[in-house]
Amino acid sequence: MKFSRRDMLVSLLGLSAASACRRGSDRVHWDGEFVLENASLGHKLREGFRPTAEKTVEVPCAILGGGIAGLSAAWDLKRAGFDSFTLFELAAKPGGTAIGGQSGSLQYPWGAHYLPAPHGHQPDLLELLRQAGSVESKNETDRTRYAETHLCADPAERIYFAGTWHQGLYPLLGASSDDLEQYKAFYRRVHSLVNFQDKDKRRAFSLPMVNSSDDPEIRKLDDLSMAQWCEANGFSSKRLKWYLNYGCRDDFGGDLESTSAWAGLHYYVARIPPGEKESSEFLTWPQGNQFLVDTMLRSIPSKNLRCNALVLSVEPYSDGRRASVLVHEPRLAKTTRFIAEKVIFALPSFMRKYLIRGFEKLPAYHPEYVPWLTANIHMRDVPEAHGFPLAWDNVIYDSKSLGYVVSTHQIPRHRGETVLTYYLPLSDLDAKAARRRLFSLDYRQACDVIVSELSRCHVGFERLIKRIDIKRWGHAMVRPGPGDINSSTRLMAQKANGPLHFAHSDLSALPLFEEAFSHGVRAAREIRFGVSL
Amino acid sequence: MNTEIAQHKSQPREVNTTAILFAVLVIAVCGLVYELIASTLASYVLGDSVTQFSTVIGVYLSAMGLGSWLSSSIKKNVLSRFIEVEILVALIGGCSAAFLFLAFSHVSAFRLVLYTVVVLIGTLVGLEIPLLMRILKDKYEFKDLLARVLTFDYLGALIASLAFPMFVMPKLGLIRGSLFIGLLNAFVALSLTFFFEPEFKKKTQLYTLRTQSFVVIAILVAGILFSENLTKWSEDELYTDNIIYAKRSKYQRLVITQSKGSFHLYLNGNLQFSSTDEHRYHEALVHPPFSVVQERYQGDLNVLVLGGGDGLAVREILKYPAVKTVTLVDLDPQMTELARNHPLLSVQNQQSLNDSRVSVINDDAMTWLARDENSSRRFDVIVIDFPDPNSFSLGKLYTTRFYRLVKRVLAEHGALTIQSTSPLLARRSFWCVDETVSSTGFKTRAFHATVPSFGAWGYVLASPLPFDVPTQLPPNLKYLTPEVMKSMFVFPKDMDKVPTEVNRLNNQVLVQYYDSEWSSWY
Repeated sequence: MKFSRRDMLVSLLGLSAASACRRGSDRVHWDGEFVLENASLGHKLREGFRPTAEKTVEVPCAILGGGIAGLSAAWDLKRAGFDSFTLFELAAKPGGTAIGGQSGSLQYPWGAHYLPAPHGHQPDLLELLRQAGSVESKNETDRTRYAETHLCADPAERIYFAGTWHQGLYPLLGASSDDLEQYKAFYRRVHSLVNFQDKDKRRAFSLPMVNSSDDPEIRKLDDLSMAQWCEANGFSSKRLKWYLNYGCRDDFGGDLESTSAWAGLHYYVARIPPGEKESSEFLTWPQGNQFLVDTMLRSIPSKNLRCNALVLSVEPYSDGRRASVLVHEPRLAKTTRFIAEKVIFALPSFMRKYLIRGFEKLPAYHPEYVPWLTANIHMRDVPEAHGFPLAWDNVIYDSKSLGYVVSTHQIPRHRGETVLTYYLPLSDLDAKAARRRLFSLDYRQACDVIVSELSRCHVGFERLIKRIDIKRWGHAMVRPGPGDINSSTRLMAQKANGPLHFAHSDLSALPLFEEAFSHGVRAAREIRFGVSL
Repeated sequence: MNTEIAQHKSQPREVNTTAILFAVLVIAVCGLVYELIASTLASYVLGDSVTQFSTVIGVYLSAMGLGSWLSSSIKKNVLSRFIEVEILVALIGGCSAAFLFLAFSHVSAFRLVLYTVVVLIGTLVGLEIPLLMRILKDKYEFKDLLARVLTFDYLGALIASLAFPMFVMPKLGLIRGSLFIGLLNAFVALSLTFFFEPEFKKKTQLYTLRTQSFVVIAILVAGILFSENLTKWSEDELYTDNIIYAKRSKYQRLVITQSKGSFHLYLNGNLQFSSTDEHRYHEALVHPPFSVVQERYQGDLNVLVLGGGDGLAVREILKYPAVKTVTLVDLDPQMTELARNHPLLSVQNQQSLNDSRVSVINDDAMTWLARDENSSRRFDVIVIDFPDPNSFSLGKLYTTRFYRLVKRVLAEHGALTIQSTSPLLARRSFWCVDETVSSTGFKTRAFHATVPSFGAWGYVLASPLPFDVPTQLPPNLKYLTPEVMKSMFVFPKDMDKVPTEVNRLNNQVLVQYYDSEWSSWY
C-alpha cells in the first residue's frame, strides 16, 4: 500500500490537511536511521526457519526473553542464591521495551521511561529501588522517601494548546465552566475510587493489579470501554475526553474506544496513595527504565546471559519431565538444544503459538498489542518556544503523538545539547494494519511525521536537529480492551504447565513495569518453591 | 478608435511597463512585510501570538481600507502624491520596528502606540494601489490594468510571505529587516521620479521629491549601519543611566551603567549592585559566617564563594588574615574577566580576584559541587551569592538537593550565608529558603540589611552546629558595627517568619512563590 506524504501525515498525526503542508523536507540535513531492528530475525520463525541442533546442553533453568519479566525472574533467582539459569534474549542487549541508548555523555530512553514511585505494599520492587539508590529512607517503618535526584524534577509537564505552551496536562485556557465542572467531577470519581476498600481491605485498583479488589461493582467496569464509561457518566467535555484519551494512550497505547474502563481508571486511581489527592511522584532517569535494567543486570552475571539468541521452539523432552528449547544464534551460526528442568517463558504471549509445541492443555492466549514509533532526536540545544518553559514531558493537545520527554531533564542545571524522545502510539487503527503501516514507512517519511509536528510548536526546531534515530516497535504494548481484565483465559495463561512457567506484563493485560516485574518474580518463586503460585 | 490615441496609449507601455509592474510588486512585498513585522514584534513583546497576529492583521487591513477610501480625496497631482506616499511609507514603515521596540521600553500605553503605527502604515499602504491605478489609467485598457496590477500585487504578497520567514527574520532580524524593506520603498519612490520625469511640469517639484527620497534613504542606511547601537539604544531606555559596557555572554547579558558618582552592574536587566551601597550588601553577606566560625575555630580558613563573580564578596573575605584560600565558582567567565579587568569594577573590588589566595573556577556551582573530585574538599566558610530564583533553572540552586551538596563540602565547625531575596517584597520566598536550608540538617538564623538600591534585603546564616547571633567583626567596615549586626537578626512584623513548604527539585515551590510575590509588586 502506498501513501502520499500528506495522507501519511494526516493519518498518523491527525493534522489538518493544511498544517500537514509543511514545506517538503526533501533536504533532510541530519543523520539518523531506523535502529534496533531485529524483527526480521523473529520473522524467520514464521517463514519456517528450522535448523537442526548441532549440540545438546543440559541446563537447570532457561529464561526465554530478556525484557523486564525475564530479567526480574533472573534477578529474583539470583537474589535467592540460585544462579544456574540461562537467559536468552533476541536483541543484542537485554531490556525489552525498557531499553535505553547512549551517545557521548547523553543517555536517553527508547521506550518505558518512568515508574510511579511505589506506595503501599510492594516489598520486592522496593528492594530493587533500594539497590538502585532510589530509596532514601533509613528504616522500614518510615513512609518511603525517594532520592530527590531520582524523582522527576519540576516542571514535570506542559501542554501545547492554542499556539503556546501551558503548565500541566489539562488545558485550562478558555475552558468553559462546564469543562471545568466535568474535570472536577471526574476527579471526584477518581478520589472516591482511591478511598474504596472492599470487605477484604483491598483497593479498587492496585499495583500490581492482582491485588485489586474483585468486588463486582469494580470488576464490571471492565465490561465497558472508557468511551462508554464516559458516556454513561455524562462526561462529554471535549477537553476532558482528550485528557482521558491521552491517559489511555500514554499508558496502554489504546484510545477511549479500545481501552477497558477498568484499565482507564486504574491509570488514575492506582497511582494515588489512599487518603491522598495527588498521584505519587514519578521516578525517572535520563536513560529511562534502562536504569532499572542496569540495576538488575548488576546482580546477574554475564555468563548467565545469552543475547542475540533466537528461541526457535519449546517442546516436551523425551523424558516427559523436562523441556527441550531449541536456540539459534545467528552471530555464531550455531543452533543448540537446551534441555531444561524449568523454563520461564518471559516472551509476549502471542509468541506461544509459534514456539510452544506438544504441551497438553496449554491455553491459547492472544491479546492485542499496539505498535509504537519512538524517536530520539539529538538536538544542538534545547528547543525554544512560546509560553511555559521546557518540562520533562511535553505534550501536544489534540495530537496523535504523545509529544516528547527531555532526557537531560533530570540532570540539574544541564545546558546545551540534549536528546528528545518522541512517542507515537499507532492506536487508532486495527493493530495489524497499524503494524503494516509502521513498517512500510521509510526513514524520511517517519522523520516528516516527527519534524512537521514538533516544528509547529517550537521556533526554529529543524535547525537544531543533529540526528534522528527511530525505533519501530511492532508489539510495543499489550492493550487492555474491554473484557481483557476479567478474561479467564488471561488467568489460565499464567498457570504453569509441567516444566513451563510464564511471566510477562501481558498476563496482566497492562503494559506496566510493575506487572512485568511481579510476574517475573512470581515465576522465579514458582521455580524456587516448586509450585504454581 | 483613433490610431493616434491608440499609439499614445501604447507608448509608455513599451517604455515603462516592466518598471511600473516591478514597482507594484515591490510595494506589495513591502506592504505585507510591515504587517508581518508589526505582528511578530507584538507577539514578541506581548506574548500570545495568535491574538497579536489576528489583531494586528485586522487593524492593518481595515486601515488599508481607510487608505483606499481616502485616495478619492486626492484630486490632482496624483503622481507626486503617490511618490510622497511612498517616501512616507519608507520612513514610517522602515523605522517602525526600531521605534516600537523603543516605545515598548518606556511607554506605558504601548498597545496604543503599536496600533497607531499599524493604522498609519496601513492607511499609507492602502493609498498606494488606488493611486497607482489612477496614474496608469490612461495608459492601459481598464481590464488589462486591473489584471496586471492585481496579478503583481498578489504575487508580491506571495514573495513577502516567503521572504519574511526565510530571509528577513533569520538574516536581518526585526529592526534591520524593517529598515531594509523601507529602503525598497524609498528606491521605488526615487526610481519613479526618473521614469516619469517628463510628466513633471514643474522641475522644482521633481527635485523636492528626489531630495526627500535621498534623505529617507540616508536615514534608513544610517539606521542599518548603526543597528547594533540602535539595539543598544533601545535597551538603553530600560536603564536610567548611561551604558558604559554591554556584552552578551554565553549565559547572560552584562551591562554596566554610570551616573555622576556611581556605577551599576545589571545581569539580564536585573540590578546586581550599585557602587553607592554595595558595601552594605556585601558586608552583611560575608561577615556573619566568619564571626560564627571564628568563635569556635582559630585555624586557617578555606573559603568557598558560589556565584559572586563581581569579586565584591571576595574583597570582604580577604579582610581576614586567617583566610588561606578562596575558591570562587562562577558560571560566567565573561563576568569574572570583567571583575578582574574592568577599570571601575576592579577598583571597586580592590583587585580581589587577582589576589594570590583566590582561585577562580568557571563552572556551574551545582555541577561543580556534584563532581566526585570535589566531594572530599572541606571549606570553613561558604558564601552563596546567586541571582534570585526567578526561573526553574535558578530555582535548582535553592533546593534541598543543592544544600545537601553544599553540606558535604562544609566543615563541621563551618558556617555559610545565602543571599535570599527580599523578606519584605518576597516574604514567603525568603522564608522558604530558610525552611529549605534547615530541612537539610542545618541550624539557621535568618537576617536582613537595608540596601537602598534593593530595599530590605535578606540572608540566611547556617551552620551544622548550633550558634549564637554573631558579634565579631574585622576593623575598617563601612556599614556593620556589632550593634547593627545584632539588629539585623530582629525581624519587624511585616517581614517575620511565615510557614512555607520545602523547595525540592521535584516541586520547585520557591520559583512559584517568587513569581507570585514579585509579580504583585511590579
